[in-house]
Amino acid sequence: MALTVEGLKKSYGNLKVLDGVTFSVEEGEFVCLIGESGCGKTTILKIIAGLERPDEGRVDFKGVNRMGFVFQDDRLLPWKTVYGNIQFALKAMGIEDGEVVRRIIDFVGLKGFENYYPKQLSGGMRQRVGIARALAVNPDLLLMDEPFASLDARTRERMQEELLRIVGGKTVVFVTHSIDEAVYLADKIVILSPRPARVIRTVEVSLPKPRDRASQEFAEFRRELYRSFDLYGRK
Amino acid sequence: MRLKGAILLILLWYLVSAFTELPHPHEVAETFFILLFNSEPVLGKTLVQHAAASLLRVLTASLLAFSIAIPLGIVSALNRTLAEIVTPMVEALRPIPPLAWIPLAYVIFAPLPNTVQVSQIFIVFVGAFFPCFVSVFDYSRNVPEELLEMARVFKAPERLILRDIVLLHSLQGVVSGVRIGLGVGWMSIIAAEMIATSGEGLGYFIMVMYEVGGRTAEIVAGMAMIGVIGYLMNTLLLKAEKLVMPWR
Repeated sequence: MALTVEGLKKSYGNLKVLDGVTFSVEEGEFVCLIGESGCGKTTILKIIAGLERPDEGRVDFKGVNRMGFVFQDDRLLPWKTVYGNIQFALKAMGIEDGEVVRRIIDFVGLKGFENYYPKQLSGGMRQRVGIARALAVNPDLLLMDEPFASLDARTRERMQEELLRIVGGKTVVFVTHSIDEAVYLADKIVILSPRPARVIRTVEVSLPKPRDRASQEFAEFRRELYRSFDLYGRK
Repeated sequence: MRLKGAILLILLWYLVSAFTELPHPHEVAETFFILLFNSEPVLGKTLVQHAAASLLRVLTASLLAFSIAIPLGIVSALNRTLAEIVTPMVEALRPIPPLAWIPLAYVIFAPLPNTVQVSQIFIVFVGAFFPCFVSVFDYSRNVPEELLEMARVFKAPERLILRDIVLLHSLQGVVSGVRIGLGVGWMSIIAAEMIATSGEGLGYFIMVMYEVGGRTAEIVAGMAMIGVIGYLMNTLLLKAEKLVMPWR
């Protein structure tokens, strides 16, 4: 078990955001947290990343020394080039190794764009830089907060395909509100209730990767998940 | 569109000249181009020499102002205690136009042998300092929270956050602060030169041309020179901005 999240509770003033969130992530597992917008998904990631403290509950790591974080908005430094932005994460760790940066740039398909500033890049390219920055620290755990939410549908699907290649084998916690995205990417899906968030259901996705979005099995799995949401909605 | 605007302005100018003492555009243009490189007899200097004198004063005083305003702006933005001391002082002094300091400056600096120069430097300093400080302070204080959070996620040490995020974000404030400060400084020097015998300078030139009998063509030629230089300074600095901050 790489990560265990147990009984997380969190309120902001009178607003209860998390109401006992529990789930676990195996080493090398790709886990999607799925729930409606504003249900507290991001808060869970922030607690895992150590940016916020839970009111109750705990997060246990095993074999996690470094975490990478990919934000919904790209959060690139506008005054740094692609190269400089990726290098920032390494410098934060006290490493000044240009070779790693170049290799990562190659790996995420940004070769030739090293000296571009974020403003000169498309949304998809900027997210690639964000992913590259997170990977540069060679994380044991990769946290991703709806990284493709602002991309157009086609770019989004292409990025999902590439993401699986790029992060292959890493432990990932990926937040999304898209059932499609979760079914395409995840080994395990944690379905959260609307605010305050609780885990409604945890589903193992047994379909082999890479998955065919047009296949019968894919469609059935999706339908099954939609039903989980609906059931909850009727209560 | 620009050409149409210029033509309209000149037509309006002719119209006003027909009914007032305002010299006609062609008279001003003639005077302007003659005086550009030929000495005007009363002061014995060309327009270019006067402009250079004013410009030199502005640059000296502004550089002095910026070299204090920029570090003070950044440090006050980062240090709450210092901000609590500096901000009220700035807020109290900032609304006073630099021109209001002119009479006092000439009195205060009277004991010095070079009262006029020191006063003029002081007045431009006041004009250039505040806009620069405020701009730098505001930018340094308002570093986007999302970027700082990103840095924390990657466990960036304070030193790196300061160097790669805070200072680079402040640079925008420095650049606009310098541009606005120089603009205000340029207006201040013209006014300061009008009050005292400066020997040279565009403000002084205009005032003398008035005192020797309302030589309006020379006066307007001097005003045109002020406009040209102000415009050039602004344009040059905007170009420099693109060089200093290629990411914008």
